Amino acid sequence: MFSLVRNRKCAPFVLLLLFWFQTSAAESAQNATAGYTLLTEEQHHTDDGGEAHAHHREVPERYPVAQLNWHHVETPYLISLWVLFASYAKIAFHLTDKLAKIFPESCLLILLGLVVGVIIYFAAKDVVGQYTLSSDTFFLFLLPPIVLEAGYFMPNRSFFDNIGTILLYAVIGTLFNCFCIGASLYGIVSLGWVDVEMDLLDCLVFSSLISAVDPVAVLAVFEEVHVNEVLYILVFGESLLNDAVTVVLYSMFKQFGAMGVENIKTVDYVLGLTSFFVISVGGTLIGVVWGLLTAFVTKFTDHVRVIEPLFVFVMSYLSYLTAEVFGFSGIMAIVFCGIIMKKYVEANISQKSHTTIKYFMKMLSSISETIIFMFLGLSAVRDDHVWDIEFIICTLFFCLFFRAVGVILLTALANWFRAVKVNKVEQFIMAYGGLRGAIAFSLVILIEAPTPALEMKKELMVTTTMIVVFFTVFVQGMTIKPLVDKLKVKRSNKHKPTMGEKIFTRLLDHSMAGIEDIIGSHGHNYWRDKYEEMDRKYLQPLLLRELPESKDTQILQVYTNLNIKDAMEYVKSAGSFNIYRGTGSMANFLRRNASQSILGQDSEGSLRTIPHGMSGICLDMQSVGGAGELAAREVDDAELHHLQDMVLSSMHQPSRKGRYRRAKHNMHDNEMGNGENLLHRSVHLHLRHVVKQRRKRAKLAKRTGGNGGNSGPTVVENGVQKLTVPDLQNIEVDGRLKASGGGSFSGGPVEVKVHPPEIQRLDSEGDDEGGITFEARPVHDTFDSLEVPVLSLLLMEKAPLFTISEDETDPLLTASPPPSIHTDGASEMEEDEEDGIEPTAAESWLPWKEYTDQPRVSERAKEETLGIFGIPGEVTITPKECDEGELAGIVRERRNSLQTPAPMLLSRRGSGDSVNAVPKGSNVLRKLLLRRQSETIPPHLYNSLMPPVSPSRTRRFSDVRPYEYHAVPQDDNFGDSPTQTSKNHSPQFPRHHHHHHHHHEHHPHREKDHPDDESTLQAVEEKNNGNIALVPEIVLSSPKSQDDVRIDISDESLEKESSV
Amino acid sequence: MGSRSSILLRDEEIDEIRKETGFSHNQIIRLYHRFNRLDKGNNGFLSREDFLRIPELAINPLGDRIIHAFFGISRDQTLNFKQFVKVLATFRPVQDGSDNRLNSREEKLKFAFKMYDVDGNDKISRDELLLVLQMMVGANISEEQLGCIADRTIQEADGDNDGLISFEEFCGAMDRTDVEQKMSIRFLH
Repeated sequence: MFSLVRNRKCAPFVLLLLFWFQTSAAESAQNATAGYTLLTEEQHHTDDGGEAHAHHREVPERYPVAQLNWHHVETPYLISLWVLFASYAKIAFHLTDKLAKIFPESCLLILLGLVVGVIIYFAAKDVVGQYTLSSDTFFLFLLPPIVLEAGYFMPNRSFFDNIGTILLYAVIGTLFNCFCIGASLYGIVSLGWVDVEMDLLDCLVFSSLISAVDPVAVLAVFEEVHVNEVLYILVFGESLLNDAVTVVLYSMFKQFGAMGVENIKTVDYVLGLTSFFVISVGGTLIGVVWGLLTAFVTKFTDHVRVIEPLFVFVMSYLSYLTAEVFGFSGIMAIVFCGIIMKKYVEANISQKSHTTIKYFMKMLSSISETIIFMFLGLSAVRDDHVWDIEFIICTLFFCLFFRAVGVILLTALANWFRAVKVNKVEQFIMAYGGLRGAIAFSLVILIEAPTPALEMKKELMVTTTMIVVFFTVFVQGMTIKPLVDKLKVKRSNKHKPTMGEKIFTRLLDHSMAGIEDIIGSHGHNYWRDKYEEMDRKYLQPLLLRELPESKDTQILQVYTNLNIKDAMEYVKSAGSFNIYRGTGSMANFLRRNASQSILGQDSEGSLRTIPHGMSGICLDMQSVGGAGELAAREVDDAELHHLQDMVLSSMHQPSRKGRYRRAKHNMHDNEMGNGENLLHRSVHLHLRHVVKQRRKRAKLAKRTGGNGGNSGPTVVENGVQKLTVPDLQNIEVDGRLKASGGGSFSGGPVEVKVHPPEIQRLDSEGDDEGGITFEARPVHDTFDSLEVPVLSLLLMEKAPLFTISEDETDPLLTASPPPSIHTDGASEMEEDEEDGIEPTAAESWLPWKEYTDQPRVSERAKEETLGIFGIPGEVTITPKECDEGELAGIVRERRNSLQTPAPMLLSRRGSGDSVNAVPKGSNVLRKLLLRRQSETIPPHLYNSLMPPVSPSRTRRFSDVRPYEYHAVPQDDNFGDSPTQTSKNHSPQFPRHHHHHHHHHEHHPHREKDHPDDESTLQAVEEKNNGNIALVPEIVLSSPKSQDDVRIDISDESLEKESSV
Repeated sequence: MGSRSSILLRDEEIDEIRKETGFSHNQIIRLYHRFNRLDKGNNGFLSREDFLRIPELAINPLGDRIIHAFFGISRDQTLNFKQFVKVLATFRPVQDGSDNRLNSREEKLKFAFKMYDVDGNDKISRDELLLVLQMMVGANISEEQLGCIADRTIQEADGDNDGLISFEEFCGAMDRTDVEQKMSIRFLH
């Protein structure tokens, strides 16, 4: 399979490359024999260019129109080609899912390198030695980006929380490994198992390079494994910090070897030990200094934003090089440089620079990694391998064995000090994750081998290192993922913290530090507290351009991030915020749309003229809706002005929640434009609701016990009832709306797509990224089938069901249980309806009519919006209290707006996969509906409508009460065809009518295009049997794993689904 | 004082405390020393003032709250050694196998909850949350901004829409937080 991919994708490319290699080899024969390596190009490049130049100068007979300047560009050209080739390889791997699932990327790249190596070997044997990983290239160019990325994106908190344990593993562990492996190898050499003669120092040199866990390999493998953060940081931190030990041991043993064993005195060991401290501390210090320097420089870059990223890269690279100049640990320097600078740099630079840094860093490290692994594979193809099976197998065994022993011993030691112990399974993964990699290889080819005997020794070491690296990367790298699954290692639970979690975490930080103060021990909480204090007092004033206003920027930052994210999600799912831009004024907008919508009431043609994008409006335009009741008959200009006045006056209300007016929170980013500010201030309340709904969902999913059922999906926010939030993501809310709609939207005029992966994620992890998005699109050209009056009646009847919920703050609206409200409210509604109050055009059609539940607009906010959108929009939300009369009005409006069978509205709510409308001909249904209309459902029936949720089942989509709907598992192209619409009745409905949870199984293949009259009649019959029938089910198309998406309900359905 | 006080703690008492809290003998002795060092008046119990005298705690932004939560158990103004140890037992690391209810996740969360819950009505109100936020975030941020944060926090957690966070809701909101890890302190053996 692999070769297939390679062939298809890369074969032409390989040939092309080969052609170039040979050309270049032929043209610069002297260089080819000199055996340069591809990537150590600098001096070679200049030599080459100089000669070529000289060569050309000899024959300047005529002016050449064009000439071949291959030498001039050869090196960069080849490098670029390699990079390109490696990137193609990366793309190719990820095109093949199966391959990528089994193999970690690093394995595939090594394989690719091997294959290319073999091809080159056979095609152009004379150049094969040129393409190996050179140590200089590796340490100077390829390694720093990877390590910088590692340091910069280091999870600082867990790193420093576990720094003791990490250092223990990195220092003691590596020393232990080195000496044990070295001694053991010497043992087998002494036993005569190995043909090549080696002394103790040779063994120690080799063991010093082979015993260190490699950060590149660890990163490549663990990135895909997603173990919990502590485990990850233990392995990865170790691999970073053991660099100093490796450097010291390696150079010390090499030096000792050069000096000769007989000349080594005790003082040399002492010096070696000292040098360890100097190298590690020196490296760290250099890193810290450069990091602080970088932070300091970025303090002054606000006028040269473009080069901000440059400082980060160049200065961290300089920290690496500086450390190398002094022979310190460059890895430690650059890691600490990254760690230190990040916090301050990010506060200083612009958002764009931040993004640039992030992606550029990731890109660099990714391509470095790719090249490293590919060249590892490539370097393995060579003639000079010295195979000594005993030595190789023993080395491999010792590596694994002592790694395990070391981890177990050191963990026992570490657990003595740790509050949270490292358990057995984690120890196993730590031992198993001790991958070796390119650092070992680069070090081993650095060994000087002037004599043939030494050459032999070196080649044996190189071969053995290769095998160990390949073994760890392939065998361990490939099996670690299944093992992690099998052993049920605690996984990382990565999510952006919610507000509550962040506050809680910060609270804990402080209180744990406090508790440590009380018991008088100085744990890491204590030191963190000290550091934070120092940071606040000295570092921040020095390094930050603008001092944070608060003592705790993290909380504010999270809040800002959450708001931005909500806004982004909202824009993504619901269209854009720019919808009003260019409409000039509100009046214009109203006028234009009103005229359309008046027509639109009886002809679908004008309906469709209303752009879909309109569904995206969410800027709390419901304030207009509040006044919209006035525009009872027709929308004309005069009235609109009046309407606007009303809106304005209503905005003046002093509001209890005036605090929303300045929802502007700590904006760190100066560049963030006014518009953006405005945007997330304005939406934030609304979005919060959305988010909350999802949180609730996630929470409910986790909660096993049934929660009574007093929390409706509707939220009353500060005195203004939120009937529903007209957001796509509020499935439950909308589902219920649909449900209340009595199955009347039949014929499936709109399909709503649910993107399953997101749902899955949402539900399986309670994750907060990526909401459920819906796409609505009309599948029906006519709206004739929609019976508007019937709909309205139905909606009116059911409206109170979903309109009532508890108020958060307003006693007036508090705790009105749905049944009672229904009885009162419904009759009230009916009266209204009989009075013949038709929904106004505006009510029906203007999108913001939906937002009756939204609070009012503040005057100031409105002005701001005018500035941006040219209309008196809504920026902040200042909810106003409303009495029951108003409530009724809102309810009515809500209902009216529901009458609009516009695709736009449906899409906005995005509640169902498809909603069946009543077919035009179904008079029975209509009659029935009309009759139902006059009935009042007695309270006991209502109670039965809302049975307590049985604790045993999960209710993912939270508090949908009277009617539930559920997602239908579908195959891949959910919602794509009208065949995947819902059916109109539930076959098993009568069986559990006591629940009155109407639901059924929907199998894609069983679904019908449109409900026919037969099914409608069946539904009617059911109704006549005394059940609350005609409850349509809202069907969401969903991924296969129904349990995740399911919003359910009854045992039968659960069983059925699970058996599907 | 230290040696004298450790004698004052009888073996039976230590055993009793050990059983109840899960601390080791040495840990209890150590804590007893600490207790006596904090007990400036040498009267066998700690008052709030004794706690406030700890310099680090005095500058801890949440120092007051920590003390408040500490005293939450006894409800009176003093804390004897047993109560002191019992509260601290909450922060013992959760270990596999040992089912000590004092350091369970729930107990840990209860302590945190108490830090929010000033009036002790087992609900976190917006004002209570705001107060905590002010302590942590500082006075420079306007109350309105903090109010937004508080609102959002409540909205996230508030399952029954009553504008208050009950303990159950609080636990629910912290579902994904590794409380066991975060609320564990290493006690010297």
